[in-house]
Amino acid sequence: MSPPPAPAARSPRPPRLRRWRRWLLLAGATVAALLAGVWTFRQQLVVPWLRPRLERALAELLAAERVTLGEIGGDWLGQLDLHAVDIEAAPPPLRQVRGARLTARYALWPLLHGDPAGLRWLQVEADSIELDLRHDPAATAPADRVSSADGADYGPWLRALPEGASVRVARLQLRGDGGERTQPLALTVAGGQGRRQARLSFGDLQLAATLAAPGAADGALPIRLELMAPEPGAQLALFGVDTGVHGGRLAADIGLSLDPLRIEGDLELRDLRRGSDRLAQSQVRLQLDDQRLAIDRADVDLPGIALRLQGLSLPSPFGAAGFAAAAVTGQFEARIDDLSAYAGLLPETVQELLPARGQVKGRASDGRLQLDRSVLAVRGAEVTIEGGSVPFTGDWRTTAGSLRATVAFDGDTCHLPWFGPTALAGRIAGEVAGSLVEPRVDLRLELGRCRSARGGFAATRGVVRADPDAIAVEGLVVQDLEAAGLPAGAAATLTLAAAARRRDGGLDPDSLALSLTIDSPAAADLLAPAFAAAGLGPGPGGAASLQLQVRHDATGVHLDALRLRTGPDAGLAVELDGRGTLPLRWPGSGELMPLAAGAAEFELHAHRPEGPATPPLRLAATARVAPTSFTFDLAEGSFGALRLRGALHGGAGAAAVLAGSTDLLAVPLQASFELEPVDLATLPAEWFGGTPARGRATARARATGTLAALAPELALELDDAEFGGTSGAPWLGRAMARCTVGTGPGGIVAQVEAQAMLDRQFGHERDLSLSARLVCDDDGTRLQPAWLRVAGGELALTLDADLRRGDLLRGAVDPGRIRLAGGLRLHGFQLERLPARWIGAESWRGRVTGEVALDGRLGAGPVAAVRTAELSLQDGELKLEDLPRIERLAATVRGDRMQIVLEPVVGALGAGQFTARGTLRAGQAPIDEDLDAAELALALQGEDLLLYRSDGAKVRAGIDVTAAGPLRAIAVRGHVEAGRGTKYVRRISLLPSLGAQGGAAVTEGLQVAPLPRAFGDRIDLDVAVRTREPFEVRTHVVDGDIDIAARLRGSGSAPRLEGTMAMRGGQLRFPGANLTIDSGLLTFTPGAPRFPELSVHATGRRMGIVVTMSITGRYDQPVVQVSSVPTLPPQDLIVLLTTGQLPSTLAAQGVTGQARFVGGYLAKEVFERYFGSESTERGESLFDRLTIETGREVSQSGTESVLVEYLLVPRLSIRLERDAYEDYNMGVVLRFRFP
Amino acid sequence: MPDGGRTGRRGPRARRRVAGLALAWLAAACSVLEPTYTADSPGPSGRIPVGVDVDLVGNQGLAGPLLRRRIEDYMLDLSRDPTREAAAYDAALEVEDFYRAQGYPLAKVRYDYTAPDADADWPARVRVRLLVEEGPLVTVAMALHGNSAHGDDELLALWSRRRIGLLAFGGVAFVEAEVYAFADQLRTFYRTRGRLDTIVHPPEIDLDLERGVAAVGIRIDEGEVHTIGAVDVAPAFREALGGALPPPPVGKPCADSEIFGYRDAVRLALRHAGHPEPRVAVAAEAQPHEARRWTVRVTGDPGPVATVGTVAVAGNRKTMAGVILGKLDLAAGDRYDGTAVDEALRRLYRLGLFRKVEIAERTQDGDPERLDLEIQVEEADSRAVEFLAGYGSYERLRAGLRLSDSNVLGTGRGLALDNRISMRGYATQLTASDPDFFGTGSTLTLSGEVYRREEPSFVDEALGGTLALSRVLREGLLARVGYQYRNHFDSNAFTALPQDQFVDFAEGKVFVEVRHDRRDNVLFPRRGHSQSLLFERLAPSLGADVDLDRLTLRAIGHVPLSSAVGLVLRSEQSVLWPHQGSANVPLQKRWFNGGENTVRSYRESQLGPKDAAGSPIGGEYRNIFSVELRFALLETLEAGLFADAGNVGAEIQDFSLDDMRYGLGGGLRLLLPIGPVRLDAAWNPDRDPGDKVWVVHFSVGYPF
Repeated sequence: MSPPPAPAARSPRPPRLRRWRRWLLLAGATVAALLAGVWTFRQQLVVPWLRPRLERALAELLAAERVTLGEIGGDWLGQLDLHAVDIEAAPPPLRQVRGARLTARYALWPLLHGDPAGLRWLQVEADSIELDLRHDPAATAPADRVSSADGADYGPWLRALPEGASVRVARLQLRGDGGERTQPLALTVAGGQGRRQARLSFGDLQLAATLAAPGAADGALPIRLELMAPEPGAQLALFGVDTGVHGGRLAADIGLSLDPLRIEGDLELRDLRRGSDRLAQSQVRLQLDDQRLAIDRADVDLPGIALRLQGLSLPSPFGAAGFAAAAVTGQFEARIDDLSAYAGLLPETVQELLPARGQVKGRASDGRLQLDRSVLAVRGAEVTIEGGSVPFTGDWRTTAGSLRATVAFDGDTCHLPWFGPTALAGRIAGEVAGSLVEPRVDLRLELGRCRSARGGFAATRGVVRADPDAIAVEGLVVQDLEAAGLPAGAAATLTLAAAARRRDGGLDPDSLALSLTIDSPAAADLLAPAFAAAGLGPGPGGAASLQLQVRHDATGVHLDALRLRTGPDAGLAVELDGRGTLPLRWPGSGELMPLAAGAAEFELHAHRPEGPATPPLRLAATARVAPTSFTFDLAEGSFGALRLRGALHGGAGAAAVLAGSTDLLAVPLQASFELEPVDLATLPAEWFGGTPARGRATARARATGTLAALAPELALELDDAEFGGTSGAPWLGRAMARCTVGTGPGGIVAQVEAQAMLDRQFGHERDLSLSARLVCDDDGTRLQPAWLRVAGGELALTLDADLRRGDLLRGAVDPGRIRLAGGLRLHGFQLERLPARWIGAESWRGRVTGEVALDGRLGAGPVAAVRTAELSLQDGELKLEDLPRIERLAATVRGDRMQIVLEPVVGALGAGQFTARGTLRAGQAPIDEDLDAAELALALQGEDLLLYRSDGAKVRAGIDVTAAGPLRAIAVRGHVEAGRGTKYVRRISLLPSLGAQGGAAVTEGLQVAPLPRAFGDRIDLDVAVRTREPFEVRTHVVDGDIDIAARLRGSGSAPRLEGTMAMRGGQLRFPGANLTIDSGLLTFTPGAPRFPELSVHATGRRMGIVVTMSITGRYDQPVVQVSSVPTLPPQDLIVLLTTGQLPSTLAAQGVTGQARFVGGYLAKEVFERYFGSESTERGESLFDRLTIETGREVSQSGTESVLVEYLLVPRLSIRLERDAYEDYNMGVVLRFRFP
Repeated sequence: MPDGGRTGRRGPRARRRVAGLALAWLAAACSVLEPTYTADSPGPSGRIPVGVDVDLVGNQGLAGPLLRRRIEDYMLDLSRDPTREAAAYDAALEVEDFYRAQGYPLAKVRYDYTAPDADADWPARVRVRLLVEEGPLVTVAMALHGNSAHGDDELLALWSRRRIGLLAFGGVAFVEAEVYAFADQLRTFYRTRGRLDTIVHPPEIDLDLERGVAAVGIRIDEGEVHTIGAVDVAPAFREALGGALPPPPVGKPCADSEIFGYRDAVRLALRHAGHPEPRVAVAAEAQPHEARRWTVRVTGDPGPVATVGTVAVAGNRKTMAGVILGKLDLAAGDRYDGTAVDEALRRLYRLGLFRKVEIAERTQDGDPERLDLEIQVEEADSRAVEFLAGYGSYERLRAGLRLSDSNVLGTGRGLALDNRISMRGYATQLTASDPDFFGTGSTLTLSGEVYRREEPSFVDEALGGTLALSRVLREGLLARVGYQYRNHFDSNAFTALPQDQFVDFAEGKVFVEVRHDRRDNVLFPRRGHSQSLLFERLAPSLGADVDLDRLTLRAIGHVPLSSAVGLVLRSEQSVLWPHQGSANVPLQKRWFNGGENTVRSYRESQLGPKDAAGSPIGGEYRNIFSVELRFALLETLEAGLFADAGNVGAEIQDFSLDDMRYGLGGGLRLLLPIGPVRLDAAWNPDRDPGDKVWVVHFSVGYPF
């Protein structure tokens, strides 16, 4: 059976469509679900993917090094929140942003359609933003700041500003050229319907701007800008302009069209104040398009300057043709009150002229600046410009211009080239025309006083004319010209007339015609350097006049007049008259040329009266200078008691010398001078080192030859001269000398015979004589057998040097290259014949035998010349200032420049024997060249040496020390052991200050005797100091034996003790009681080595009272504390110690009782006189033995009996008694006591 | 230093022993007599000590014995070890130092000694020669500059000087160390007087050897006195003391003595007010903007006020507790008083019975406001037996025996029996004393005696007793009153005058004595004065056989002319009024004059009326006037020039200064620790027949 056919009329809707729709719905739902899911989980799904990409994109956009984003929040559909936005190292102006939060609300759809108006609201907050507004010279202006291509519709731009936006920055750091400001920033934008109002707050700065929709007529964007700046000066200072103004409000109504560019509007600045002055309102009306900048009228009233422009037209900076100076037209007028506020914007040279004031006006046309009469007062001068024309552009070297001006100086300081800050007065008037580089100058100078650090003048007048061909100075008179470096009062009046042609950029000397007259009342001061160089002292000094008239032409330099006269108050009266023609010509090359003819003669007279330190001087001479010779005739020459006559003739003259062809060493010379016999007593003592002298001296000197080979003959005789002795003081010594120097075939021979007797004040009282013959020839110089005799002792000297005669005559003597060889021999020479003070000792003696061989260079000094030396000393004795006398000294020293060996040195110090041996070896260089590097190795041993002795103190010790190391740092090590004989027995006063609790004492502390610094600084000490046997200390108060355990440290110049002195037993002895020292310590600390710390503790017992005394603190400020058991007031204890009784007990016993104890105290003094202070008993005190009793009986006349007993040994006393009959009895008492 | 190293026959220890047994001049004499030094013990080498002979050459200014004593230690060292030349060297230095300390600043002493070889046999004796170049003796002329607040005299007293030359007028020896010590003394002096800014510059010494004078100048910048401008006492102290707060030392110099003195005063006041343990601290600080005014701040805590719990005595074995307790004016329940405790301590010590006294204060059961007092004593030996042998200026050889007990039966009272015998007589005396009679601070003495004594004119023999009470009225002023009875029963007169019958008589008298003594020293007075008045009334009603009054006035003044020269003046008047006629005055009660302590141009009692045999019979009045100039010659040798004048009148109605006798002379006094030994020679310019032209006295002590 077949199935029945399906009915056709009720066919369903196509299932595919339903399926599609279903699928579409499903897909849509799915997508929506996905989108919803993605949107819901956008933070987890999208942000991780989006954030890095967004960061990179922003970094590229801002050219920043790094941009980081925190959370990206918001619903993203109408709001986006960006949190924790940081921007690092972005280029200026935005340098850095930290902690920014950005919230934007928008309509997504318009934005997706490119409508910026979709941005509804924007809020930016940031923790800090750093902006850098500093000018970057390298930066170039953007090529197209404003596009003029596309037609601009400002509506979208204006709409792009959200109707509500705010920016808040907690810390905006703004850097400008003038400084840096950090303040919070707030910016809000509000408005709608084509108008936006923006308000900005940056610290005190308030800015409001209104942007309206473009006008219907021109399509320009109207902008209304209002700036309220309570401190605009501060704002401007940020840009380097310090105007000092404050307050103010800037308003601008501007119409801005970008296509084409056109800005038109009015600017108005109001309410600006400087100090309490309100500045005038400034208004500018301008028009700017791509062709011109036209300022119809501008009245700008700025601090210090008011500028009025009228009809000013300039090429537009945005025009295609660029700036063309020739196109500038207009008028300007500027009133300047003070430009100081703009100093930072002006060149330095202009800054120095500030403050400036005045009025400048002119006009610009045809590429030139036409100046009308203007006046400008700058610092120190007033410039009046009569008129002129200055080109704007072009080559200034060829462009002609002219300027007629007068500069009047008012005496204020001007900064002038070369002169520096100069006080100028007067005026300079003239005209400068032609090329501004080589102008024609016609100046008339009428200057008054001019003064600067480099000099000045009283007045100058004259005319200076110059053109490219010649320069002429006419009638230039400079009065009282002074120059730096010249003494005050040396002003000169200078008259100059000169003319010369110009050639090759310089002056043609042949065309120079010059007339110069110098008239100086103190011209002598100008000669001071010459006098000083000639050894004539400071020169004439004082007032003088110099007149010089000189002409120059082809025949030479004509001295028409040369007169020098010093005034009557001059230290040296000089008269110099000269005239003639110096055979010299100045070709203009900077050097003088000699000529063959001409001569000048000068007469010189000089006279100086005797001064407090200078003998009188008188000279009369004639000098003639010819081209090839000169002659100097000394008709009279006296210098104090010295009278000299003679003449000097030279075979070379000015021409020859200046020609440079003459060898000065070969100039033949003939000289002959003779000194008249002179009494040395008439000569100044300063000539002999401050030591007066008397006796007679004569001298003759002749010389012929040349400077290179001068054959001098000199004879000097000193007869019976005595030196020293003023106002009755003993004479230092007496000397006779003959010295003859002559030349001959054998060379220069000097024969010296000298004898001297030096007395005690000089440290020597025996005669000293020298007999020597010195020969200098072509082979060298030899001291032929010479003997230096000292007080009968004789030292043989030999000397051989390679100083040759030729070198000597040529003056080519170099002491450093002259070799010396010789020797010194001693045989049993008595050391005491030489002054002991030579080595700083009080005395020395001994016999020295040995030889010193010399071989070295003259200039290196005597030590360096020593080649070898071997000296031995016998029976020596040496007394240094602070040391006991060293006796029985015997030593041998051998050495050369590399090593000095000290053979065993033996001696006695306080009868104790010591031995020393050692070496001093050179380092890299010989000893004399580098003494500091020489290595010392010295060992010193001694036993029982007396190291120190003074009144009451004595130190005897064994010593074993070494000194080693380079001389610049010698290490002294070893030990010193004080032994028998060391003691300190001295009377010191402690009792009177017992009641005091210490106090500042005037003392420099305990100072170990230092060595001189020059030597002591090199010594590093570390020597153990100890006592082999305790040394005795016995004073009125302290009695005991002391052990030392210390080290002597520090440098030789500042030695210090470190360690302790401990008292072994001992007692503190007081008249009333003895205290046994339980411990006694004197500690020398490194911190205060000169002020050791005391720590003494002692106890004693008197009258049943146990007294404890503690002495602490610095030894010079001891703190004495006395306590007792039972407790008693300190005053009572002091009395107890000093009298043996309590004060109250004494009072109870009456006056006699008091007196008896005081008397006992005095009796103790008597005891000490008998037994010596050092012999005071160490046992019980005197008062423990002494008993005085009064009043046991009374005599018939009422006199109390007195009974004095002194305990000799236990139970046995000696007694003195005044009895009831007033008789005196003496005897011994044997007493037995029982309880 | 080992003691063995210092022992020697005449080493320091031995010398001290000698010094204790003999006077110093004896030691010096021994040095002269025996210039060889030999040690007792061997030295380090163990060898026998050698004898060391010392020759002193060139010493003129200082005597050899003095110098030899200085070098004894070194010579004994040399005796033990003659190879140690350093000892001879040190001896020379020692002598040199000694010279310089005596005013010879340029003294040089060399020695000449050849030490034997240590390996060879030592010689038996060695010789050391000390060659002295004394140089000039230099005196010093001291000048102080800049001192205005304190005069030169006041300051120069601080300078330890030694005068030289005859009569010590040769000036002061220049000893550099003493000059510098003087400068130190000046610094201390000014500092203790509140001149804290004082600068005492180092002495400037200009030595002129030709004149032998060292001109020393010390410049003093005295500065101003720093004073105490205010005293800030802690409120706790003010509250505790109220009006008993000691007056603060405002305006006084800012010296430690003032500052700490005030601290002690506050402390004492607090203890007196019942605070046993006050803590008182003081500190001085400069007042701001007041350079020389200081503020003293007294801080601390007075502590609680305590009452006395119990009072006990400990340690007394013999002394009765009541004797001890009687010295403390505090009893159980009393408020504590520190002053009373301190006073008790003093009174107990003053008894002389105890070696040590302590008053312990202990809190009762830890309560600081209740204190138990315990007086702890350590008794000293109270009984003694003394044997005396000696020589007296009048009695010649003398001997004695004394038995004493200072704490009889533990009562704190003393009892002594004195027995003396000499070439002039004998005496026995029994004395009882109470050093704190009824706690009044007065001393009561009761004695009985029997004696016999030969005087120049008579022999006095008596039996009697004395009751005396003495008390210190105030500082320097002593009063004594008493009663004495003596029965002169077997006396003999050597004269033929009627007074003979009165040699034997009964003497009953009361006496009053007032003494004012302001001398600085009882043995060696240098300044000060003393006056005394003694009045005796002998009357039958007092048990006497005679009726007479006696009065003695004495005044002595010491005037220092310089540190080494002093002038002493004496005036003494003694009179008696016989109410029964001059014939009824016993010889013993008459006044005599002449002798070593009166007018020294006469022997004892030889001035005045004499009988036909030339024996002095005394008079009813006498006057003594003396002036004596004492000056130092050497260290312990003093010289005196004196003039004495005196008279004796037979009858009081003839009292006058007529008929004066004089004595002019000089003497030497060797100052010993127990007083001077004196040798005076006096010339009598106005002699009667029989009087000696010169009289020489050898005695001890000053005459007045």
